[in-house]
Amino acid sequence: MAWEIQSGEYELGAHRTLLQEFWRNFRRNKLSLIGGFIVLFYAFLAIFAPLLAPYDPIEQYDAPRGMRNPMPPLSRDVDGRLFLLGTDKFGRDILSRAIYGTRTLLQVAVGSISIAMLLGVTMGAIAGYRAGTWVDELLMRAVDIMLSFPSLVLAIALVGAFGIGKIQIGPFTLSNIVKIMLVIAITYSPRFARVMRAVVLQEMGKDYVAAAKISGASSARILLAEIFPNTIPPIIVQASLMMATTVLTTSSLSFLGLGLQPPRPSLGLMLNEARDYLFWGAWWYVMVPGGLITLAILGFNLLGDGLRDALDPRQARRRG
Amino acid sequence: MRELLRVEGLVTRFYTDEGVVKAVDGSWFALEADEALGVVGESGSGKTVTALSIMRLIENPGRIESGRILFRGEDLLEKPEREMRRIRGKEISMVFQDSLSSLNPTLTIGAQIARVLKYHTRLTRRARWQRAVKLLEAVGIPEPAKRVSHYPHQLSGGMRQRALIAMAISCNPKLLILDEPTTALDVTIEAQIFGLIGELKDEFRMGVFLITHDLSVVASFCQQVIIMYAGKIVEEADVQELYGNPLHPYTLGLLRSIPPLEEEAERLESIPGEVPDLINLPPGCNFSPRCALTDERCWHEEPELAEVSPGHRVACHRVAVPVGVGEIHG
Repeated sequence: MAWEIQSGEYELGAHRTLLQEFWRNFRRNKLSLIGGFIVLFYAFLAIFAPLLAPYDPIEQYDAPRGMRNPMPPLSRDVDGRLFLLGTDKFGRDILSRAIYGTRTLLQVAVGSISIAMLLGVTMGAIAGYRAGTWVDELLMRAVDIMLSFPSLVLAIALVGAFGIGKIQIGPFTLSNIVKIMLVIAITYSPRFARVMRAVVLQEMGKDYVAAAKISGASSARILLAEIFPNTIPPIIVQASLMMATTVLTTSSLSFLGLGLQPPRPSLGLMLNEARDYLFWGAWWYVMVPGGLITLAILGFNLLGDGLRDALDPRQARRRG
Repeated sequence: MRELLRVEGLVTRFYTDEGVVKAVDGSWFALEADEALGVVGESGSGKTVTALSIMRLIENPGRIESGRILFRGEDLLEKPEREMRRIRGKEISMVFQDSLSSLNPTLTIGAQIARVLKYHTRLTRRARWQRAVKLLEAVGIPEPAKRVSHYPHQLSGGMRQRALIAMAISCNPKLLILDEPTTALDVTIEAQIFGLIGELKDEFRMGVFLITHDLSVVASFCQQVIIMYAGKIVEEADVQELYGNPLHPYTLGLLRSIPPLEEEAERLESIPGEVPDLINLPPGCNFSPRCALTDERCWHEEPELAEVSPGHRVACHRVAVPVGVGEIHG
C-alpha cells in the first residue's frame, strides 16, 4: 500500500546524515549531475596537466615544407610529431596549451574565489552580526560603492593601479598570477559580503540563536559555532556560481592583455592570438580555447544551480 | 520554602520608530524555590518580555528602565555581562514554544546538549555525550543512544520539545522559564510534557516560571498565578484563590471564555475589544475600554496593585479593598 512504502521511506530518512540527504537531493537533478561531471573533468585536466599534455606548451615546432603555422588538427611537423588539435601561430601544440591553460585558469579561479570568500564572508559576518551599527554601515557602504562599478571595469581599474608585472611588498613578491587573483578577489568579495550579511541577519532572528544566548553562549561563540554552520550552504552555492563569473573575468582580462602574460599558456590569451586568424579559416585556433571557457562556465553554473536546490533544506523536505 | 526570585518594579520599554512601547510597566512579584508560577495573558501583554528581562536578554531598541531582579538575593541587573552568561543556562534556563526553530538545524541533538554542558561544566567530551544520552533518557525519549545523534528535523514535535527540555535542565538550573512550551503540540503530548516538567521540578527542586495563555494548564500545574494585561500585573493570587474568587474584570472575562465542560453553551463568551496599543495606552486603567464595570475614576486614574486579602492582589478601582489592608507599594 502506498502509505506503507512512504512510512518505510520515512524510517530510512530518519537515519540519514546531512551529507547523505544532500547527495540524495543532488542526484535527482540530472542537469546538476552533468554540471558536476564537467567540473570534475576540468579538475582532472588541471591536476594531471603534465601527464595529459603530449608536448611542452611553450616549445615551438616547425611546420613541414609546404605548410605554415598555425596548422590544422591532425597535422604533423617536420619531424613527424602529431598535433591532435593543430598548432598556433608560433608552432606550439594547441592541445597542450589548452590543457595547461585550463590549469592556470582554474588556479586563478579557485585562488581568487577562496580569497574573495575569506574577505567577503568576514566582512558580511561582522556587518550582519552588528547590523544597524556604524560598523555595518561603513562596511556595507564600501560594498555598495564597489558593486556600483561593472565588475570587469573595476578589475581593469585595479590592474591599472597594480600594474601587470610582479611587485615587491616588503619581503613578499607578488607574481603576476597572485596579483590577478587578488584583483579578482577584491572585485568579487562584496558579493560574498552581501550574501553573508543577509544570511547572518536571517539566522540571527531565529530562535536557536536566542536559545544559544539563553544557554550562556558568548557573541563570538554564537557567531562561529551556531550561525556559521548555517551559512555554509548559501556560501557554497554563491561560490560555485561565482566560479563561472570568475572564469569569464579571468579569461577576459587575459584576452585584453591585462591578465596572465605570455608565454604562460592561458585560454584568454589564446583567444586573443587567434583573433587574427579567425577569417583565415583557422577555426581550431578559436574553437579550442573558446569551447573550453564556455564549457567551464556552463559546468559551474549547472553545478551551482544543482547545489542551490539540493542544499536548501526547506526545498529538500518539500520534495522528500 | 525559600524565595528564589523577586522582581521589584520592573519597567521594560522598547524605543521603536513609532513610539515608546511600554512592554512591561512596573511588575512586582516573587517566586519561591520549587514553586510553579503561572503567568497568563493575551499576546502582547508582556509575559515574554518579563521572562527575557529576567534573563537580561532585552535587545535594542528595548531597555530595562528600572527595577530590581533579585535572584537568590542578588540583583541580576547589576551583574556584568560575563557573570550573566554564567547564570544563563546554568542557574536560569528557558524553553521556547517553537521547538523546531529553537534547535540549530545543522547540529545533532546530542551536540547541542553537549554544547550547553561545555559552557558550564568541566566535563570531558565523552562525559558530555554520555550525559546528553542520560538527559534524553530522563525526558522520556525512547532509544536515547540512537536519538542523540539525530538532527532536529528527524524528530517529532513532542520529541523535539523533550530534547529542548533536556537541554534546559542539563545543568540543573534553579529556575526554569517555559514560554508557552506546548502551544505547538497536541493535547495528549501537552499532558505528557507537563507531567514530565512536574516530575523534573520535584526531582531537581526547580522554580518554574510558566508563560501561557491556557488557564486550564495553570490550574493543574501551578501554585501561584499572575494575570498580565497590557504590560501590567492586574491580579495575583494562589491557584485556589484565583479560580475560587477571581476579582479583576479581566480575570473574570478570561475564566468565562473557557468553554464549559458540563453545560451546553450556546455561544462561547469572549472579552469585547482588543489589547490596547502599547504605544498609546488609554488614560486611567488600561482595561477600561473593554471593561463593563467602569466609572468616572477608571477613565482618569490608574489603579494600583493592592492586596485585598493575604496573598491576593488586584489592580482595580471597582474591587473594594478591605480597610486595614494597605497598598503594598506606592
